[in-house]
Amino acid sequence: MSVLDTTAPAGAPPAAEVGEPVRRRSFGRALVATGRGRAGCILVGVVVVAAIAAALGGTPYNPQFQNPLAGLKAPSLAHPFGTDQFGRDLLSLVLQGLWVSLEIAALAVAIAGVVGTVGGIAAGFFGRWTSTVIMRVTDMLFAIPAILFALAIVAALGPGWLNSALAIGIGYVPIFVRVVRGPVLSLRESGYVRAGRVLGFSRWRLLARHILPNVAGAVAVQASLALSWSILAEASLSFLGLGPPPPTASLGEMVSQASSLAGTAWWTLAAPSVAIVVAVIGFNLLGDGLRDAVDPRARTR
Amino acid sequence: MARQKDAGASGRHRRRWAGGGAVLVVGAGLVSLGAVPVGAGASVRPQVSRPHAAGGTFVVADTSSVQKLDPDVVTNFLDFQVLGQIYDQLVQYNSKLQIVPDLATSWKYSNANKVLTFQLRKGVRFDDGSTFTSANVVASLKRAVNPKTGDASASFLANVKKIVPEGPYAVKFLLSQPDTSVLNGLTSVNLSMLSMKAMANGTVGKKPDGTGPFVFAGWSPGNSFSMVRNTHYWGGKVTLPAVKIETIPTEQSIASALEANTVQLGLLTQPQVANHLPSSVKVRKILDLSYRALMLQDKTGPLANVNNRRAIACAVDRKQVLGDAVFGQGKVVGPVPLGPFASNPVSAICATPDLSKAKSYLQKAGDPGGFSFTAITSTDLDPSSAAQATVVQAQLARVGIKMNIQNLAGNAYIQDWLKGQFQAAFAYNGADPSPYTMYGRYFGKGANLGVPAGYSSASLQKLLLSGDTAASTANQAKIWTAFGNDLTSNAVWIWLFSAFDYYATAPGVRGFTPSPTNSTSLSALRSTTMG
Repeated sequence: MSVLDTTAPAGAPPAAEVGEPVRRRSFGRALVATGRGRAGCILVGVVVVAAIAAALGGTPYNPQFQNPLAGLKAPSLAHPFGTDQFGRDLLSLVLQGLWVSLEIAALAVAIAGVVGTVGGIAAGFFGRWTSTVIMRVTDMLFAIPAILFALAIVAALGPGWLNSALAIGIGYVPIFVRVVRGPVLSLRESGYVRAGRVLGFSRWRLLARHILPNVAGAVAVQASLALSWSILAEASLSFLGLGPPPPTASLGEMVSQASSLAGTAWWTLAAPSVAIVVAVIGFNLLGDGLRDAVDPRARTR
Repeated sequence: MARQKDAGASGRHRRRWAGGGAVLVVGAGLVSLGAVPVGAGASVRPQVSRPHAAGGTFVVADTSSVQKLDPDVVTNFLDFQVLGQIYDQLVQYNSKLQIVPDLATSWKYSNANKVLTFQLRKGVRFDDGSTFTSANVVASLKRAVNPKTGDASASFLANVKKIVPEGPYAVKFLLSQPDTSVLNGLTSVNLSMLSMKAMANGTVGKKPDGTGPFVFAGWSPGNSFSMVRNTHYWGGKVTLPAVKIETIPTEQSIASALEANTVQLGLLTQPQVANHLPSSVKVRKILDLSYRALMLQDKTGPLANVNNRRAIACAVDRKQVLGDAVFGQGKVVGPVPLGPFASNPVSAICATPDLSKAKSYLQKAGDPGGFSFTAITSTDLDPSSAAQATVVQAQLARVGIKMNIQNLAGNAYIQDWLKGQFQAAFAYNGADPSPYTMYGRYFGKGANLGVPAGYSSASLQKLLLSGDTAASTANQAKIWTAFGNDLTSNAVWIWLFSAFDYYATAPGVRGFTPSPTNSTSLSALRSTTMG
């Protein structure tokens, strides 16, 4: 927590002790207050803007355009990432692949986040058999490796971006359930929730107005991290030929196609690999920044 | 990717490692895929690791895996290659594609070419200890033509009325009409000589018992197939004590294994891999006489309309497919890629790719805006098939034809292919100098592979029959030209190219000279040595 480390000169008493009013920074400022948060915002910003630009047709070339005369060209001004064996511009393909990855990862995280948050709140708030059922199902899902689970689902449903998102999303539901359930267990017993009960607030009001807002921060942090895992999972599925079918560009499939070309055309492997790494690191760093920003102790100065 | 068990406590570690994990997953995925088995099922026998003489086990690596053990029903190249080391046939091809003796020592036609008599080799023993005689020939070929067997090459014997033993070491084939291709057909592994015991006990598809240079030792479906040398082999001493066929799903991984000397022979098809092997690995490049084709199921859907198929034929630039899929390492071919009756590689309807003609065919078909269909590929069986499909997909899109691509595991592809459960299939098919042997089983009367062929016509059947019975070579040439034109003008399939195969041997391997026909390419193993 670098924010805490820099609050006061050595030997000075903590601000709260001397009776100064506690000041809270805005969420945005808190997010970029750390190096990790800033780097995450920049990397994710670049990835998201590039992907959206690709989705809107803003790639330098048509990603699917094959030029037989320009196969396996090394990076140049005309093709900054080079070309693949079909003469397609790799930069354009990578941008389109990023969009596809983000699309799938976002839907997967939405599925996992919504289902997992609802499950976690229900397990934590209602307790008893609701908690038992939800947590045992969660334990069972935890017992199966996420990528194996996703493979099985895609193998059963068939390849495609929607099925990939569904498969990845279901695999990550248990993590959200656990992340949410813990805080809900303590919130359930907090004074203001008890007071709400005494005042006759309905369960739904308590959940919507008092419980959900208090776990939203943890869910947001988890969502950012889950986005990076989902991008990796999507790349893995595509690498195995279970991602969106051609001609849809997919980073994992590009890596797979380039594996036999690594000796002759390194850029065909490097371009999609670097894109995956940048996206994953970006979302991880953003997750770190979010965690620091939503942590009330970290935000207190 | 490791599943996180405790999001709270291990979160910091997870986040720290996830970035590095991205690099690891991308890199390790390339390598670890080598461990992903293709296919499933219990081992026939536990993996055999028999003690062997100096030199150890000779490991052959291929991206494909052995699918079946019954030589009569196999259709996968590797199955042909491997079972060809365990079983013998009556005759075989030499490296010049001439028919030479195998278990038959000589043969002669008589009675206006309606009787074919074989003299059989004496002193040949099956792996189960029984002796090879004319009874094995009669029973093996009777089994092959039994529809219940599902022999993939039974049509090669379509003109054989009866097989009569002439004592223990001679058999007479009584033909319904002169048949110029029956000898070509008898070279097929599908028409192997089987043990009487194995046929009686129903173990042909479970435990191969042949007379070939190697003896079956074990099979782990999807992973490996093991053989040991046949000490009773009639053809002389086999030097390699044991051979193991390993499935390594990517050619890049095979190349790495060759460099590490954990594999002695790599079967490669991708020039970009073969051409970048270190100089210590010897690569033999040979034009594979098999061919790649886009097989179309012409009986239902949009592909039932001949003009839609013609539109595909005119839109596909086969030279570009050859260039992009295998970097131009091969040649564009017609239906018969080799031999004295090789087809004109130029399509009968579009000599060169012609998009306006393709569009006019779509107009005629009543689909001016194009149509869509799905093509299956299997990179397990043909690593270049994904690239072929990618190029063809882009070419067809130019005239509004949408081709979806579905890549299947090798065993799934073979199952769907045999049942004709596809609209189009990027196929890697074996060729033969005899057009009848190549296509009788696809388009002949009662063709065994009529279902995957997806097309039948009386004119093709008539041409096949007359080509097979024509007396003079000039007549045959005329008939086979007409046959090729019939196939391409109706765009029955789209014939693409034949490509080079690469046989990469590790240092110390000597005496391995591959055969030009893919299905017999491992026959040189019997004379191979390793230091």
